Amino acid sequence: MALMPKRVKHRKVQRGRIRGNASRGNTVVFGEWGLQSLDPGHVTAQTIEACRIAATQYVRGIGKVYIRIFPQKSVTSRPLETRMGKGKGEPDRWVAVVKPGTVLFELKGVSREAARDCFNRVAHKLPVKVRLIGRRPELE
Amino acid sequence: MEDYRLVAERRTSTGKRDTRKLRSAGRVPANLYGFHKDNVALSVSADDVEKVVARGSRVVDVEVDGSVDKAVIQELQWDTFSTHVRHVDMMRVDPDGTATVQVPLEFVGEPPALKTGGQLRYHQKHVTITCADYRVPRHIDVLLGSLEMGESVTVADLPIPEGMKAEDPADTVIVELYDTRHAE
Repeated sequence: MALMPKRVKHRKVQRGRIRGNASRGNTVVFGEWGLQSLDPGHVTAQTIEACRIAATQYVRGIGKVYIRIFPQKSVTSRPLETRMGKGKGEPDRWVAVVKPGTVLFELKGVSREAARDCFNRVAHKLPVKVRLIGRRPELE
Repeated sequence: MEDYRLVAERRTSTGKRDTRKLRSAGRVPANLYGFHKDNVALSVSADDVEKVVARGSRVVDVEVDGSVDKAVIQELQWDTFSTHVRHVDMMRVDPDGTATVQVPLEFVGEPPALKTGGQLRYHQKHVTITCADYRVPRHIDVLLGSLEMGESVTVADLPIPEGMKAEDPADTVIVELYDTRHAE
């Protein structure tokens, strides 16, 4: 089942604007490889689920997939063939707000080539441009 | 091991506008502090910083106005996409300082004899070493891949890096591989 919050304070929220780059969640933390967004955008819960399935099917048995984003925000829509007015529409889907730099998914236990292949399948499902990144170099 | 020499220039102007100019000119703002001396605002070449990162060693020799200080890189600030270093924090250290510390051991590999009834018995998960206080290793690897049944790894077998000395007796057993079928 697609991700969604257990409980929210307000069912309907304004969409807002996505400004600036990600200052948090922009590094690889859990795995060795990450899929980093290069554009701002909204990624729906269904898209995250589709990406998760594509990634886990690829790395099954050899690696582990981490999802670094969560769809916190509700997006409303109006039913088809209804007139304007009569208040705001009902919540239709849940989306994760993604800024440039946000790490969307991570992979652990796979080679760079395998990670590239895996994330290539994932990238085709995403509404934002992405790239493969590794961990930041650590100084000993 | 020779440490990388980072040639730095003093930075007189600070602030957002000047650091942006500095970065666009291919330099990285830096700070040097500690060891009973004044803090200095510096700038270093971005190419040099890349070389330091590629070497992977945090110990550098910082040259400012002809004088050289040994320092460790305390923090690197990266941009959003982790491609460029935006700022370097360096702390001066005592070049003659030594420390005796316990360093954790990291066990790497699996002996093939584990599949034929062998079992590993760990005696020690740390080793005491004396080294320069600015070059304490995070861990020391213990290679177990080639361990045969009945053999053991002692302190003498550890790959202690150059310039460091193990304080534990050389014959101290770290880990041994024993045969469970003939165990007493």
